[in-house]
Amino acid sequence: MNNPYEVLGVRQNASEDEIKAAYRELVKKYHPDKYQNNPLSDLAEEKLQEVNEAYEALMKNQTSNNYKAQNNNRGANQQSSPEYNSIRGIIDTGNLDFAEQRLNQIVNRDAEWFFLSGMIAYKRGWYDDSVNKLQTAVSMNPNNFEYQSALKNILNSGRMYQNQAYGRGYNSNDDMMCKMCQLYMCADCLCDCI
Amino acid sequence: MLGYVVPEKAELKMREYEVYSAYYCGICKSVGERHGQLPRFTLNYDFVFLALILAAIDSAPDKISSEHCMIHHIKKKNVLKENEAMDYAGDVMLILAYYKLMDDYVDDHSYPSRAMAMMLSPTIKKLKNQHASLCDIVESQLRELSNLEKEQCAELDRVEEPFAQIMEAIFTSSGAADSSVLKVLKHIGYHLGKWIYLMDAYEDIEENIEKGTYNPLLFRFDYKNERIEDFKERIETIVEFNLMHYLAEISNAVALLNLKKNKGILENIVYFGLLRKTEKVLGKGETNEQSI
Repeated sequence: MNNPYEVLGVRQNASEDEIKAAYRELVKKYHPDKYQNNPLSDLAEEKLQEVNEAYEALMKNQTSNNYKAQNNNRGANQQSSPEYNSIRGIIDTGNLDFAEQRLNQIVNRDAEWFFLSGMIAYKRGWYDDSVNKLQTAVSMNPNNFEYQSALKNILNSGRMYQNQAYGRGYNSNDDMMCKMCQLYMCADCLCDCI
Repeated sequence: MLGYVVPEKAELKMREYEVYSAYYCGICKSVGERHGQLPRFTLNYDFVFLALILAAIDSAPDKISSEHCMIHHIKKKNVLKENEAMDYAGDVMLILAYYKLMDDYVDDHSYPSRAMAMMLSPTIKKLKNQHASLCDIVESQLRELSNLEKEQCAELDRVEEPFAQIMEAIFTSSGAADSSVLKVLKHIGYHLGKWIYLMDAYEDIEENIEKGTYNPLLFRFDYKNERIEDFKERIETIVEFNLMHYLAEISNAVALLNLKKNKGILENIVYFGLLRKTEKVLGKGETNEQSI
């Protein structure tokens, strides 16, 4: 295993609070929600596991409060046909071409058809296409929570990215307080007047 | 200068800005030394990002020296030396520029494009030996793109796909690294390709309407000869969703790379530079006068 201090990004004699804070940050960074339906999800899971192991190693005396990566296996949908369930399985293995082939053989295009078609598009990286299909699925079956939830998550990732940017300080210098401090310090440097 | 993938200069530490400039000047010099002076006109910011990210996977420190520049004669500039990622980025920059120019010539009979392509031609012959399959991909995908545009493709993802494939190939053909790193680079390249293409399409709306040339957004959103401002307002939500989603994918992928150096610069580009550029092109958000 890699040096747990390095993995968590803390110094050798870091306090328990520092370790916990670093751990929380990394869990947020590699959180499975960010990598849902993403081809990189297994890499993110590996990183999360590495982080958990490092945390466990450093907190040997505490009862670990670890975040375990949840298995995002949707599994068979009870109300769905066997063919659709089989296609879901194929999508999960990542064989998108084959899944699409099987899906295109289905003549009756109901809400589930559009949902699965949308999920295939999403995994290919075709987000505009995916959203259109998911919206169709939702309009055909407005009570289906799975469809709504998938659509909502996809529409949200842009917002999550922007929040991260703001969290890191994007546009932080436009704050009025910042501008006043800058003016104050400049005035002081220029004429030693303060 | 060409390129959408830029840092937010105001938020770079001075030291980071020096390094970024060294990479930029480094590519220009590397191209000049290895392929002659003429090809330097293809210099493009997007490939500075490529050089930075490929080099960041390696822990070897940057070798920066102070040298004279053809354009800026007075002061010496910081230039990155002896860096494989930088050399590779310069090479693929030329390859992409060449095939794009050839395409412009074939499609629009643009003679200036032909002239510039001819200037690059001897260099490309040389590069084809080292990067044969990459050249094939670039050439065939640009052909595919040209066909989709001629057919007036109204599907956004479909028309973005060729350039996404090109950038994916560029990011994964440097001969670097193990398979999980390649997987991440592939994801970054693919989504960067989509982002660049869509940004370009959005910026070109006015020009394409005026000239009556193809623009995917005009077909995707069924442009009905309305006022340009009204059209842009109508399509903004969906275009913004797609652009931000690409940035989300890029940033999530970069987070999975083990960056051994220049992390600050790369995160600046990914979280600030790309976001700023996106907002600027969409015509929203704060303007930052100090951006490149």
